[in-house]
Amino acid sequence: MRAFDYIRAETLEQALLELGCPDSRALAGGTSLVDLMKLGVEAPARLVDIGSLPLAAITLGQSALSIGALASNSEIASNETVERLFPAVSQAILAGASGQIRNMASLAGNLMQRTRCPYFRSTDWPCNKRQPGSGCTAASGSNAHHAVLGVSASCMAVNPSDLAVALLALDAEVHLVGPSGPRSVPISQFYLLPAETPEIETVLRPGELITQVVLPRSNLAAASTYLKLRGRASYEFASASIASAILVEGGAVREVAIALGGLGVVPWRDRTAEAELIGKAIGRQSIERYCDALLAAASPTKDNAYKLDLARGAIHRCLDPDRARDDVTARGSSPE
Amino acid sequence: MPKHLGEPRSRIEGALKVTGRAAYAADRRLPNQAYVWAVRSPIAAGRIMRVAVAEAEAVDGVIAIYTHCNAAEALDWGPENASWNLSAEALGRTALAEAEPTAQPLYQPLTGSEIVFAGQWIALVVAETLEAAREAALLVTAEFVEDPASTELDKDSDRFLSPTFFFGADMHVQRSGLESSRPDQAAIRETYVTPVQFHHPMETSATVADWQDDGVTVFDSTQGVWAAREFIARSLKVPTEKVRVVSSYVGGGFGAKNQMWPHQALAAHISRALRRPIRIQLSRADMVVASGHRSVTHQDVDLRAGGDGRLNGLSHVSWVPTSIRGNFFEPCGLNSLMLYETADLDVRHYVTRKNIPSPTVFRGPGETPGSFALECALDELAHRMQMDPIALRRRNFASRDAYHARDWSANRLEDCYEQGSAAFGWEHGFTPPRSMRSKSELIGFGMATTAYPAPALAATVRLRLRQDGPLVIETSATDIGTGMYTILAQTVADALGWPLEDLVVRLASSDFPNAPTAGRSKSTASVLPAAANACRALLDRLQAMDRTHSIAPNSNRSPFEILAAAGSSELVVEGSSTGMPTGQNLSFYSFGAHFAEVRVDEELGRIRVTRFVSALDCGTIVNPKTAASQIKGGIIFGIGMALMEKGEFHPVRGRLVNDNLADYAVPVHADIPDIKVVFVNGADERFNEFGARGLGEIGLPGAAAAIANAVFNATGKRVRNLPITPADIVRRA
Repeated sequence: MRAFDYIRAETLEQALLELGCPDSRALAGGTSLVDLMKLGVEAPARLVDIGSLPLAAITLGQSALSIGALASNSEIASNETVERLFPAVSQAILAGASGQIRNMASLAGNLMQRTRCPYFRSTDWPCNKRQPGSGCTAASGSNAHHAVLGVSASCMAVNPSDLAVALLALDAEVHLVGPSGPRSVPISQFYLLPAETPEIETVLRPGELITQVVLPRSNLAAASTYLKLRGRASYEFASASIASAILVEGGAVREVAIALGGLGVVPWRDRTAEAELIGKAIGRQSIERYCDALLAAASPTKDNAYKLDLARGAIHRCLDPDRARDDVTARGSSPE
Repeated sequence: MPKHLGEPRSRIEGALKVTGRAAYAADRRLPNQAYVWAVRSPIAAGRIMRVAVAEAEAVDGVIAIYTHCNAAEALDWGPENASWNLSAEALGRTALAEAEPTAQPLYQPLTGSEIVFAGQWIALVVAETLEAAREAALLVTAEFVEDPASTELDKDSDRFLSPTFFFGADMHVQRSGLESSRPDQAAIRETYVTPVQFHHPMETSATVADWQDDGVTVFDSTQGVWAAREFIARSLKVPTEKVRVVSSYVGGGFGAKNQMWPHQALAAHISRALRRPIRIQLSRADMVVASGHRSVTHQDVDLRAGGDGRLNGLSHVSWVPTSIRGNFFEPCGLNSLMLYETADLDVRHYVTRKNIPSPTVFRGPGETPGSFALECALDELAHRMQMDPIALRRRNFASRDAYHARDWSANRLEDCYEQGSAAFGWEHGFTPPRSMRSKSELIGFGMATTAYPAPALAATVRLRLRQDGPLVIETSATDIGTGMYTILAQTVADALGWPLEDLVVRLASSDFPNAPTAGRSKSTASVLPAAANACRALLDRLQAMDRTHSIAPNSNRSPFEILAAAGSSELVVEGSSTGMPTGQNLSFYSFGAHFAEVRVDEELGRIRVTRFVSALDCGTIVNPKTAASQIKGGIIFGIGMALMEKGEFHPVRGRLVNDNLADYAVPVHADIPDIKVVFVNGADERFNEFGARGLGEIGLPGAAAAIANAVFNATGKRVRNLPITPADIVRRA
């Protein structure tokens, strides 16, 4: 690991000032950044520890819930309001990592975590995300865990966050502050497709910090669930996951929100495909049509095409009222 | 005095381990100790043209960097070294000698510019701290001329060698039975593939070497201290007695620490060159390239049976790789030679050289991948014949070891079928696939046979009785998590009527008397008889002393009183065992039957093992608690093999992709169901005085087959290529 300067920021203003210096990175829980520094993938000259800034509050307002950027994953997952009004958020967090990691990891850190692509995480593989222009090793094979949606010739690395998938389904707003003041971005616009520049992953500008994430309250959000599929029962990133909520009235879909993880280079949601479900009866056929529309843009390889079938299975299981719903909800809080 | 043998006793060193006080090799912190980090080749074949180390040398704290350019001179490290015949690279060489009359030099890192596999060590950085070594290693750059590399086995186009004799068996056996004219009513002819697997013990391999004056003390994570001493001494070209190897605790081995690997010698060479203690601990990524792995296997199994299920023919042909400059290969056909009665038998192996790191022994080498193929094929045959898989196996029960033409010393396999199926609730008869379901899950039952040889080698145990302390037991045997500390104490406590808590067991120093390297489930049967003989020697000596120094012999004086009367402060005795019993023409094997229940959610591609029962005949069980732990560990390995583990070489770059525990999945706690282990009672009295056989491996062979057979029973999908993944289950096309 390259030697680095360590600065503890006491105030938000100081943090922003320090982060303005070149080659500086914000440190919160460190579960992702320090790991990558040990691997030699990240080598910042300066670490600005923002851990003691007052940004950890979880506050329920009239119309929305605000979660501070430094709230720990464990705090969010076990927060009674989150469990009641935004169950998919709690379930998504508990479906990921381990108890120890969730205790350390922050909300903002979860959103900013880097991909688990093995070619990115080891310094001597070619990787356009780690070393722009060096090439994509996954493109030439061994890519069973890579993305099928949003991929480009330069990158097919999956965004690993479970939490971001839930937040995407629940229309979260990401609040930022930087040298030029505060702004907010819908989470649907927070992540960037890799295209030709996979090294640029979010709209976060240099020197900017996430301050909070705001979740609008709704009946749909309160009905949300998260289902994660993976090879082993715990402690593994998703092969496919789904955060979903559906409200049916008089046999027809009134509202629906579906976001997918494990499939895309970014957390994935297709509102056009969702809109086709509105007003229709929910059942095998309408769900299959939704899946066809959602996955039409997929570009699978021979190794990762199974993810399309996993996604279809998960979507049916979560949306189809005829299927055993308790299979999903009963497992939401289990290690599965 | 309570009896200890046969009783479930907790590990006597358990508290030290769980409180962090047990010092493993890498825990040693010697004054002035330096640390090593390896630089690996990113290419799989070719030649190093240049290694640039200047930038790395400039890193603060870097002491030395060794490459093939300077290691010979700086470290006296050379390919002419006779020690390399003792290295992991040499295992299997005699089996391949006939096929390759001119043997290639064995792989030895830092001795030349040739690259034969990706991950090969091309430089070692020595620094004051691990962090500095690791940082500098990132700055070492190399230029290569790359040659085409081949890592994937290809039955059609690879050049294959025919090995001769390996693991005590001919690798090419073709026998035609007298009854082969019996008509075939059913036949199975399929190919089974088992994956590249990594041992990944919790403790990565480590060596701390401390050269002083003209000798070296080596704290090592080896499974065999005497073997390590010989290897290191020969490599250093010093007399054996100048090397001391200590391996007090080993955090799992599974074969990764059974053979001799470069770091063990290199640490000693560097310590001698730099005159300071050196620690080399393999990183997780180093483990897969520098301590062996289980190779991929392709196995063609051909079974032919008459209408009653009796086998007319059993053919098991294995296609396996070894490395370019190593020799180990998986002898998959071992169990097929002896486990079932068949008229015709055809067991062959073919080996090809690939640009892969050298494979090595791995828990149940041969039997583990071989049993997957054999036991799945039997399940397929049973299904084809609509027979109970147990009935088919019973029909083909081998009443004697036909391959070796010997009777079994004891064989309670039929009891294993019976007691195991009772404990599991096995429904006898033919159960068609997809006949059990609960909500969205299909349920399947599967079973398989396991068998494993029971070897023993000569060993010696020393006892030290002192006036002022506990009775000390010393032997160079290692405890690799198996329970050796505890069963030795149990043995001595019972033989001498000594309180267990007043015994001290010291293991795994080369100063202690010889015992075999832990491996192939032989330690119990080798070491315990030696301990028993040492106890008898102690009692004889005490009796003799009592007669000599007492007015009234045969009094009830304690050993301490006898020692005091003799004016002696310490009495040291040794006892030895002789290995396999002689004068009996018998085959010594352990047997067992595995039973698995799986639940499969086809829509979600989810496969979970929900119950597992194993019934085993391992002779007398010395310690039911540590024995059951061994078996459960083997079954957990089987769950990983069946459903998760697969080392993957990049198809273009020939490099292992998932050389870490994030990308190489092994079971976590949530994957492990209730496991019930049933030991079928019965001593193997003709094996040793305890009637006990080792059992470190028998839990694993057959376990993956039982699971795969259960997945078939649940879904009707026969997956012959492990691991069985969500992709196999969910695929719609």
